[in-house]
Amino acid sequence: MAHAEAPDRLDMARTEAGHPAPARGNVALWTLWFGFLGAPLGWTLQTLANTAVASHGCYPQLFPLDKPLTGGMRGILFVISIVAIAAGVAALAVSFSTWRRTNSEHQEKSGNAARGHGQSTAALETGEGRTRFMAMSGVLTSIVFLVVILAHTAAIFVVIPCGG
Amino acid sequence: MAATAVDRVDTVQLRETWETPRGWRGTLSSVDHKTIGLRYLVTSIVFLVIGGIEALMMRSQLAVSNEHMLSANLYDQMFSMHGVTMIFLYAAPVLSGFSNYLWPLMLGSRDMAYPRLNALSYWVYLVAGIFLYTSLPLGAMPNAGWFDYVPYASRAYNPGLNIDFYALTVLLLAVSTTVGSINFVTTLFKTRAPGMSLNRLPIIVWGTLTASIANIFALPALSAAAIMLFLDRRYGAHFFDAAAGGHPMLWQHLFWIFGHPWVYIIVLPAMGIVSDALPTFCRRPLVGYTFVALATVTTGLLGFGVWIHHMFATGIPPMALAFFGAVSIFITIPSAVAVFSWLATIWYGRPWYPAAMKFMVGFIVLFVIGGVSGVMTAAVPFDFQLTDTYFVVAHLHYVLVGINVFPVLAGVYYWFPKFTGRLMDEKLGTWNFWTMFIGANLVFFPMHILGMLGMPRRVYTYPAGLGWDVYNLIETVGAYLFAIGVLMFAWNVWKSRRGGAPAGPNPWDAGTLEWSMPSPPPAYNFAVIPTIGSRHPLWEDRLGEGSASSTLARGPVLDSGRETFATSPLDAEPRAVMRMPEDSYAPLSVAISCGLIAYGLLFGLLWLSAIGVVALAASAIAWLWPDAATQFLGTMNTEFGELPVGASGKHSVGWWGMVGVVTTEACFFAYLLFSYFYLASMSTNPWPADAPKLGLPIINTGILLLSSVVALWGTRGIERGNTRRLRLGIGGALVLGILFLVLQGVEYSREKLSFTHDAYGSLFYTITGFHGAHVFVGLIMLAVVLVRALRGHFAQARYEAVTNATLYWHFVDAVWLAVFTTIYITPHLR
Repeated sequence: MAHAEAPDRLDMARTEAGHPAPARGNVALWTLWFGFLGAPLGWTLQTLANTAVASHGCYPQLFPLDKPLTGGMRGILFVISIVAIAAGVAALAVSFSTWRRTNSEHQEKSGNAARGHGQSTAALETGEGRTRFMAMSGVLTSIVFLVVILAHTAAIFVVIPCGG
Repeated sequence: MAATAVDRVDTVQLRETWETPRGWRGTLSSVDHKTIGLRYLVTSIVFLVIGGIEALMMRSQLAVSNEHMLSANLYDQMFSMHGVTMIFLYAAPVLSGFSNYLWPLMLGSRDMAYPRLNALSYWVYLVAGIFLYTSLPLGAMPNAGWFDYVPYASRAYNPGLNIDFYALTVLLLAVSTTVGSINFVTTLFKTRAPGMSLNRLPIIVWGTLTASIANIFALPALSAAAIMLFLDRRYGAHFFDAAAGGHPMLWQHLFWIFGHPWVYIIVLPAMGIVSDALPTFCRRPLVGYTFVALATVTTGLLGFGVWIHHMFATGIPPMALAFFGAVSIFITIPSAVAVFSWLATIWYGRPWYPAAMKFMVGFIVLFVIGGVSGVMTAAVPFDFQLTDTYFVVAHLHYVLVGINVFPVLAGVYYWFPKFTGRLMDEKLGTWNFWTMFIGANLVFFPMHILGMLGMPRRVYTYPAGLGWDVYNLIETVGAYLFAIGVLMFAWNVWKSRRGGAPAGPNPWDAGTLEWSMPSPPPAYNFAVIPTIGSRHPLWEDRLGEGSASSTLARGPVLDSGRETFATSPLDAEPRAVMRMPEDSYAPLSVAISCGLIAYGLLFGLLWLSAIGVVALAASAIAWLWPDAATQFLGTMNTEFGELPVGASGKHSVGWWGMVGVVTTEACFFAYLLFSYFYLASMSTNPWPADAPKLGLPIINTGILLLSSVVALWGTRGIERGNTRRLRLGIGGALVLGILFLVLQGVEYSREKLSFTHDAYGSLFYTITGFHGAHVFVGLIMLAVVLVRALRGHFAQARYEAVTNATLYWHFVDAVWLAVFTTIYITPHLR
């Protein structure tokens, strides 16, 4: 059993230095959640709204059309996508900002840093520092979802809307 | 209360407090997560064997051309039961088994957040399995595939009980899975050891958390679809009947809105098994923990946006298909992240290859093959060519066998010593692995070629001379080889449980918390509640990492009853001492009641369903009877300060469970309303023929909103210690709620619409009827709270039941606004 001999560690866990998130006061909690969920929510809006518009525009009732019901369908899809992109970019900016303010949280004892190899990979190796972990999660999630949102947006201009 | 050294703990008292009595009473009433976890594992693997036998019967038929061992009708039932059994009765429950057993041990808790719900989840699952297989002796097994597409599943084309068995089984399983998921989510956020912050969770916990949240959002789509199907078939509704304003495509949308997240639900925890076990055999931490944790969550989120890739060939316009094709390709990014992480862990580690590790490496190989064919079918034109061919069968089996079965077996080989205290036979394990690995590739790889050659799925036999014979024969040989591997596994489990080498607490020298205790673990899990300082509490000395060292040998005992900490959601700071419920027969009784209701509905025996409802109500009363687990019991001085004991508002778990219920119920209504708008958009007739009158519904809306205001006023009163105001507020809400239902009845009596006339009528009565049922449940909650208020159960800072009941009541009111707008207002806007 690890550290069975250490009588002072329970006390240490209760101190600020031993807290899993000593940098939690550096950022507001809502910024961490927005950074994490902003891009997925933007993508959700884009997927649901654009699927409804693109489907209904070409297949309004029981029979498919060769051309969209309205001429401005691509424009509507693009405007919705712009909103999604804006949500993704905002989430990325916010999460990057929170990560900048928390990225040193507990990193001196993480991953390669713990073995004296510097902190470059520490953040990814063990995920120490709860605030930093959530901030980095926001950065990574925002990037992945922005890529998906942009691919979806590109389809608006390269794929024929109806028929096929 | 000072911290106690582990060797000074009175473990006899702890054992007497936590241990389930031996004998049939204990067997039927146990709520121990370890017992429930093992039951899940054993039961699901029994279903794996049953589903495997069904597969062997199909493969025997297809081994040669023109074979008629099975009739077309029986073959339909075989492939349907194989799918339903494997997907619903094996693949998800087996992962629940691992998570139920392991979560509290990994998280440093003494049980799951809701031990009785945990038992209920298992018992309902068992009842659902028995219910489904009742169809076997009746010769009426489901026969429209595990996806159960209409119109083939509609009564006109499928008049027997087959599809009714399917619909009711799905609803029973939805109950089981939903309560289990809410339990997992609450356990994760509320019952971790101090210091087990979000960033220190094992990956299997991330996997099961993601799957559980996905269940809460996705399962209501299947429930809504199954209810509509049952109403169509048995009560003359028209949800899927194109001739009366319904549409078969509605089924496909609802099914796959559930179905594709479900694919990830049954693989993410399995991937978590590998992410947690593989580092042990590489003697180093997982490379890229943060990436893998995020890949798990991201896959779960993206999994909600790919459902239409199952419907590429249904005539949906190209641009809409492209949106889903794009996501289906990009969802490979997080999967690839995980694969590269495992490979890097092997590369940078010092790997050794016992049977568990062999299964994990085999999993990676099969995962990559299944993933590549998945990307291929994500391309719309490619899918057009291969849809409904054996290529798709190959893909889905590489994915499900590769990412579920192989990690599950790896997990059994890895944690079997913890389950039983004994090691499995390694030599037999090696034979077991190679037999199954070669068998799996023999049976599933040629299916790619057969798909390219044009062999369609689900054919019960085929003529000679099409070039399919050799591949089919190879597949059948592979299937039997795979089955021999499964038998080897069963034999290994059987013999190792009795005669395996003693394992000790940590035979693999693993780093996570579950290996810190004896094997098998004692009933109370931890003699003292540990304090966690890193992700590898048992490897801290050699890694030198972590912001604070873990303390496993000294800590709070919490032995005044079945107690464990309730902690804060993000950083696991102790917030309260929870008093856990005792063993109970109520979960079993509720499950049996659900079974009676289902059999009554199936055979049209309403008296049987009525008995089930009465039994259910009685069981619920016994379950919910106030005891120590539901009351505030004072405060306790601990190392982490003075903490409340027992029910403690948002600090304890009741509120979290209610949020879970409200969320999943909100999704259920969202899917019903989606169905309304979908059918309205497809209708070529006026929708509806006559718009509903607004007078009475507007008055009713006002009444329901007023009831929420009154309930809120009462709640604000008890927050200030005003019990009289609480009684008035809850009583007022109760009266207004009853008035709402009475007026709803008056409206029904005046309404000229018919449930069976067209899809609008079916939707009108289904949506408002389900809302009315929710109002009724809310009224029962308010009545219970009122009785308890009159008996003086509540005071300032001690009113958790009030908070939970009024949360539900506000939810019911909010849903009504959406229902009212959709059903009553939108017809006037067209």
